[in-house]
Amino acid sequence: MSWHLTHDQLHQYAAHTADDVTAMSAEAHLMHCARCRDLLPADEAWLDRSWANLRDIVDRPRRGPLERLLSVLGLRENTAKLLAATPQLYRAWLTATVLVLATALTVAHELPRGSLLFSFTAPVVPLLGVALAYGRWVDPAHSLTSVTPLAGYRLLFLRTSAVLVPALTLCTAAAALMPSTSTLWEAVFWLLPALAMVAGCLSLSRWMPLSLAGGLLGAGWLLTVGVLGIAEELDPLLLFSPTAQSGWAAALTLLAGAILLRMRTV
Amino acid sequence: MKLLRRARRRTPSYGPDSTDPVLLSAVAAGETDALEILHRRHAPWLRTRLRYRCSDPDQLDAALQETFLAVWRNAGSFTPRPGDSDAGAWLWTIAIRQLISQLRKRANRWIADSTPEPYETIGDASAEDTVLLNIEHGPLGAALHELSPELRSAIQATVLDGLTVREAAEILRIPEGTVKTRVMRAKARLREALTT
Amino acid sequence: MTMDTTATGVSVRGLVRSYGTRRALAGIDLDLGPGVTGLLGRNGAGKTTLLRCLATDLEATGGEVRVLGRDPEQAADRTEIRRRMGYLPQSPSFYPHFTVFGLLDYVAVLKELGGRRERHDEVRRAMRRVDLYDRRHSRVRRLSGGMRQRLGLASALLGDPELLLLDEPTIGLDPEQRIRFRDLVSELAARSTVVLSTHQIEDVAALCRRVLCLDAGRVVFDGTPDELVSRARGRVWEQGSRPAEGVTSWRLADGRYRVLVPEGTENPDSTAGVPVEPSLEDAYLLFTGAGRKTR
Repeated sequence: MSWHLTHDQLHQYAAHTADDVTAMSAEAHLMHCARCRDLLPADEAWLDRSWANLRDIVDRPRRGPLERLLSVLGLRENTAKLLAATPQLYRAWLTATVLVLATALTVAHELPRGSLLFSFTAPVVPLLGVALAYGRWVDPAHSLTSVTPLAGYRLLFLRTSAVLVPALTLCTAAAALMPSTSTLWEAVFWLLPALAMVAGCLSLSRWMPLSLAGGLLGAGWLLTVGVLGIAEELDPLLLFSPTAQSGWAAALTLLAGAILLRMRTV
Repeated sequence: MKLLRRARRRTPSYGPDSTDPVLLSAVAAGETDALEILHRRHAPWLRTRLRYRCSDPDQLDAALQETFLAVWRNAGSFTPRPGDSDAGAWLWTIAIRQLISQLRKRANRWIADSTPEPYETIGDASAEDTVLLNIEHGPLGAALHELSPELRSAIQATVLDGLTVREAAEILRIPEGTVKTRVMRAKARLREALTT
Repeated sequence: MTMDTTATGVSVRGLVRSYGTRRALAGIDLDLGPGVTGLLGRNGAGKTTLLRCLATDLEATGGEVRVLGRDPEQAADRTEIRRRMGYLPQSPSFYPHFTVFGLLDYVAVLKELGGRRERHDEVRRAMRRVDLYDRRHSRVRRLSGGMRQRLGLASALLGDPELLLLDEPTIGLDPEQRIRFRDLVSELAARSTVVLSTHQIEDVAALCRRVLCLDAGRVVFDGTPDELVSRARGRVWEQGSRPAEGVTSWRLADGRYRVLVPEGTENPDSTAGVPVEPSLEDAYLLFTGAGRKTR
């Protein structure tokens, strides 16, 4: 560059006091002259503000596909973030659930009385998901997050809903595809025991780790099914009889009430 | 897809003294720190220059923000001419178009914004325009002084800012035909002044 | 004794924490104010349990705890403590597939830190403080041990807490990072209460205004580092002959033996050696139970 703008020209131009022709001249020169551009007086405070605004858009934590999906579905940003950050065991549970339900469906279509497999696994699917969703044993970041203001019941319920929504959807879908399903009742017979056991698990978590509570209840369920299956003149399907269903409903109501009460007082 | 592409691209090493093309390839690889250096280097003069074309500070800041966002998204499309280590002209073409787009938004809020892309380096100006760009305080300066403000602003928008006739019409708020006749008349006057 | 319920620091009376029949904390009394307090003690002495009780991560089995003037057993108080406190657990672990920025942002959401813009600014500030800003888009699984430790520290620093509880914060840091860490903690200690557990004598000497030595769930020493050293005076000996069995000692480079004589006992070989000026390390070993052979 053969010439450069003078100090006065630069300052007049920057202060918006240059006449048209000087301004045009300065602009034509500045377009290609880095040296004069650097000498142009700059408003540092404005520059910092401007960068902060820009950075806020270009420099954000990367969002995973799940978090983006949840945002698209209309969840608030914070909620989407909390729901998307689930322990990897939860993902494993989701995969396992799909596999187990697919197997149960195949068995139900191929074998006589094969639909029993679905009947006795569906009620524990949500329970196991909840057990794997929260707590020191299953969540590697638990020690880091357990003493934050949002931890405790709020995070627990958020994670529980992250389990219940896919679990109930998948189980309902599977039930609808069962060969024997003809009425609405036959599609949701597993729902009350499943919910009652989840509520039981959440209630027990007051005294023991959530995963242990889930494990105990799950084992209890399988044991009961086994005992009823072996015993003469008893049928495991009794667990879904109208009498049993009203029992499950009562248990669910009581446990949910207890949980709500505890949330209020603690 | 964009994320994948970004992650795969190798990040060149760069610093506050790196040239624009190096910084832009770092930005293309997703480096926000390189964008910060570019912003620090170019935002002040772009802002000063835009201020001669728009007096509303909010629209100005919005246009500048959009400019650097466009740089962030399109840094990969910058192809420097051999030996050119400066992205000033390229940045200006983005900035002035973002300003027009801001003005258009204000004028017609209901018309969807069409982002003009990709951004190409201007520089294939005619020989005459190149002469015009080398304005000094010689006879050309004097000749420009002689022009009426209307003719001067038409020359400024088309030659100096590198706008198309349509864009110049938008920023000057006059019909395209008027831009064309004013530019023709201005060039004729200047030629006259320089040759006599 | 009356409870100190001032809004700063920590106040503990008769704190007991049991695991079944084992008492990890066997009656602790404490009042901690602004500045850095070091928790010393060998593994299993109760340091981590004490920090977890103060961090509202564990409930006390007995006694009274007040953190920042509030009672961790009350839900509302507990949440308030959690808002104003930062806790670095011992060897923290993370979601490996998260980026540094993403993980801290997640913790910041759990800490209820403002809208997105303020939250991101706070996360950036924390990352800068621990020198992780340049790695903010790296996945956690790609970080070295020292970086993960700093990531944990950054998460404790989020929200500018009034009380910082750090469980072995300098583990995995190289010497240069340790120095930077000390600078950072000194800066924080000017306006907040910092409690850290450590095995690094250099950290204690450089940082702590006060040290607490824990042994078997009890506080066995509470004072300044200088007082700790002076209490060890007369209990550190050097002698030419190998000391008797059952005495803590080690061989020095010049072939002599350095002997630690725990409080309440006499040096069995007192004629063979001379008492020497104790170092902070001698004092640490004496008062954290190393003077006794394993129980």
